[in-house]
Formats: sequence, structure tokens, C-alpha cells
Amino acid sequence: MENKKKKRSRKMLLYVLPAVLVLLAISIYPLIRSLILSLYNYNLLRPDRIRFIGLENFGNAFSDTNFWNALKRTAYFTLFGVSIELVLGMLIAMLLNRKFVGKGIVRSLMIVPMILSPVAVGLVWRILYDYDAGMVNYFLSFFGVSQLAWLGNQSTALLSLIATDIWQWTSFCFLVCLAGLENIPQEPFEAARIDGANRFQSFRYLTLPFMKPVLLVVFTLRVIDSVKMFDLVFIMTNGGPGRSTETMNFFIYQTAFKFFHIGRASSYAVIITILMSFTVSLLVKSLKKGGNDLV
Amino acid sequence: MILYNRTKIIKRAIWWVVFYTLIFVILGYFLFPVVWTILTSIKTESEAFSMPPKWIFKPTFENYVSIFTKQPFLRYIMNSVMIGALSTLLALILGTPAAYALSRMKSGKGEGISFFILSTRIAPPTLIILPFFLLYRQIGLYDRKVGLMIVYLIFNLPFVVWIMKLFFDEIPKELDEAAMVDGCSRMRAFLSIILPLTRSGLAATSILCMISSWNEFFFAVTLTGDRAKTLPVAVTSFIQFTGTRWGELCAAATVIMIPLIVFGFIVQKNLVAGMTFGAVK
Repeated sequence: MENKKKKRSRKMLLYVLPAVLVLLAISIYPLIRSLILSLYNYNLLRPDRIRFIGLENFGNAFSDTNFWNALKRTAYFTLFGVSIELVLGMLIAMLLNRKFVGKGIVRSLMIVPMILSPVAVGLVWRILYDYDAGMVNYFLSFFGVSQLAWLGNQSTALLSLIATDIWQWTSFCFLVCLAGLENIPQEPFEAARIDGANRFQSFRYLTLPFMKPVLLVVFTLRVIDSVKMFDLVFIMTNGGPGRSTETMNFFIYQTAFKFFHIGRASSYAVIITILMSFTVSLLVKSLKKGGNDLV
Repeated sequence: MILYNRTKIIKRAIWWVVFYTLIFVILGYFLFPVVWTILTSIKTESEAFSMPPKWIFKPTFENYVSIFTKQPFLRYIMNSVMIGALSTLLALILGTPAAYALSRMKSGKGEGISFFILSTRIAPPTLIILPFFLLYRQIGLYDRKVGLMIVYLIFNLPFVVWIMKLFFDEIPKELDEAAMVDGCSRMRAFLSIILPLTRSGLAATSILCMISSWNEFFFAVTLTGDRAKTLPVAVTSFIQFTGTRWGELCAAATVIMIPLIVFGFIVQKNLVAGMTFGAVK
């Protein structure tokens, strides 16, 4: 009997094996190759000069102001964008977490921004931000705001990208928060009301603790994706004006595919991977502490 | 008492008016850009630029005609569809049995998988793409549909495994055991009894895979030239060609968006679970 069970579970491994082998091939192989590449002076345009240089690329990265600036922009983009998305999403979810006519339709319509390709979103907002005939300037003119070249200005370009990201991903935060809110049991709230708790108190001591795991999941997923953000920069500003919207991933892309410094680009990617693994493992740890075993 | 009731009723009425106004504003904010793009796509070039904007106009399809005739737009669409469909199919073939087995094995092994999925998402795409770029140029897979299809497995395969496991978890183990007592092999039980029960899950999972493949841009822009170019890449090179031909840009954006919106509505029930890897349902 025991033997049969063992045989059975060994057979089950056969179901998993193909998927695991393919996954290992397509993810572990590039990981190792990237690690190796990062130790080389590797320029596609000068194949005769490819040579092993140890950790030199990493040293150069840390003394390169462009690298640091890209890192700062990414941190700014991520923290600013994601926190606003989360707060806005949560607020809208709390507003809509009640019975009302049309709730189903509103919820369905709210999925539209998050389902769109970032490429399409970038295209749409590039047009909306236009100086002469863009809708952003048109609507703001009602409020007495003078015309502005949102994407052509060093001081507003990155903010405009963040605003676009917020437009797209607030809907995601909203949907997840609403799903979370609907899963909260009602009894503690009734008990609290009977005990005389006011709205703020029941939000602070009931809603927030109940929602903490959900908020952390959304936060983690949004941070991961936001750090990787590339499409919007590529389509809306191409890193400019100046270098004002050159975020990390775009910077690495340029290093690799515009200047063909493959080795250098790999070392940047390795640094970001290490930084991100560290950040995410911290977030996952706090998730587990919160009793959420799903991530 | 009556007075009290009346103020209460008025208060409620005001609250609902404020509430629906807020909803109107929120929906307006999230939907206006999309509606505006679709409207602009059926305007003539001069109407698209008119300030103040024209809200009433005679619709025209000239922008659509011109994007499909000036460029091989249809080919780019077909590339996107084929790459997405093949990658999804392959991910399902490889991933569903794995998901089934993980769901039936003793718990605890799922943890490694979820960590793995997270780690494939954490790595910046450049880390993954550079080795593929070099390899594909060597072995002739650069700018080939097959090449991109394989790379898309990086996100589609872990996704299928994880999401399908959630669907299998909902089917009681006793069902396959009963089938096997009746003389079915494990494979038969899986293929002819358990798998058909997850039909709607399979459908939702494939649609979500198709959507992420359709939206993918970074891998496509680095691994394709012209032959295997996908729709998002075609649209960006389009910006360089047309400059500010807004009507055509909007038509192109609309072509990308419409299928997404349609399929998005179809899978809306699974969207939250799918995009949070089942962490929130």
C-alpha cells in the first residue's frame, strides 16, 4: 500500500516535469547568461574587444550619475504613483461598497483602463496632453490654468507620466479593494456600532486591519510592475525632454539596444534584480505576518 | 416627529444626488480618454484638431481605410493573434497537467511555485531579454514568430499553472479517486472527468493569457524587426511615420483597444483573481 502510494506520487511528478523543464530552460538559462554577461566588457559593435573584466561594470554603474538618476526617477515614479493609486482605489472602493442601482455596470466599466495595453494608453494620453489641441489643456482652461506643454517640459514630463500610470492602475486597485471589502464579515461592524464606535474608529480599527493583507498584495504587485515600467516612456517621451523621464528600465534598454553595451546593461539589470528581490521578500514577509498564506 | 422624518428624507435625497454625481465624475475620468480616442478615430483630420473640440460631426472611416492600406496592418494583427494563440495553447498543454498534479499533491509544494512565479515577475525584462536577443541572433530566431512565442511562455506558463491549480483545487479529490476505483487510469480520470469540469476556468485562463500576450510590448520591440512585428510595436513605429496624424493614431489605438474591452468584459469575474494570482477573489 505504502509502495503504491509512492509510485503514484512519482507518477504525478511526470505531470509536472514538462512544465518545470521548460520553465527552467527559459528562465534559469537567461538568468545565468545575464550574470556571466555582466562580468564582461561586451559591446556588440566591437566584437573584437569582448573580454572578461570582473566586477568593473558594477563599479562603473555606481559611479555613473545617469544610473543613479534613473534609479531615483524609478523610485519616485513607483512610490508616488503606486501610493496615489492605492489611496484613490481604496477611497473609490469604500464609496461604492454599498447597494445601489447600477453597481454592476459601474464595476464593469471600471475594468476598462486596467485592461488596455500600456502602449494604447500611452498613445491616448500623448494626444490628450498635446499643447494646442489636447483635451487636458482644454479642460484645464475652464479652471483658468494656462496652456502647458505637459510632455515637453522637464518639470512636468515625469509627473505627466505618473498621472497616466495613475489613470490606468487606479481601476485595478479599486477592483481588488472592492473585492476585499466585500469579503469582510459584517458582524464586527455591527457590534462596534452598538458599542458606540464612530465611523472613523470602525475604519481605523476594523476596516484597515481586515484590508491590510489585500492592500499589501496590491501594493506588492503594483510596485513590481511599476519598477518595470517601460512602455509609457517609450511611447510618450522617449526618455526626454533631456533625460527627465529616463527611468531605470528605459535606461537599461537604451544602454543595450541603442549603445549596444550588453555587458554594462546586464550589470544594471542584475543590480535592479537584487534590489527588487530584497524589497519584495520584505513585502512578502510582512504579508505572511499578516496571516495571508496566499502569496 | 414628522418634521424629523422630513429632514431625514431630504438628507438622504441629497446624499444620493451627491453619490451619483461622484460616480458620474469618476466614470467620466476613467472612460473619457477611451471614448475620446474612439470619437477622434472617426473624425476627419481637420475635425480632430479643431479647438474647441467638435462633439457632433459626420463619422468617417477614412482613418481606418488609410491605416489598413498604407501599412500591412492586417499582417501585424495576424502576427499578434498567432503569437498570442500559440503561446497560450502551448502554456495550456504544458501547464494544465502540472497544475492538476500540484493541486492533488500534498500541500506545501505549492509554495515553491508561487515564489517562482513571483521571481519571474520581479526580474527586469532586460535581464531576461539580453540572453534571448543574443541567442536568437545566433540561431536565427530573431524576428520570428516562434521566437517571440517561446519568450511569452515566460509569463504565460507560470500563470496557467498557478491559476489552473486554483480551479482544480475547487474540485474535490474524491471525484478522481472514485473514477480510479471504477478502473479509470489517472490520465483518463484527469482528461475525461476532471478537465471538462474546469471548462470555464480554462476559457478564462486562455483569455487572460491572450490579453497579456496582446498587450506585451518590451519583448516584442526588442526581438522583432519587421517580419514578426506585433500590433503594439507596429503602432509605435507608426508614430514616427505619421507624426501628428491624430485620426490615424486614434484609429490604430482603437484597433488595439476594442478586442481588449470585449474580452475584458467576458472575463471580468475572473479578472481580480487572475491579476492578483488568486490572492484576492
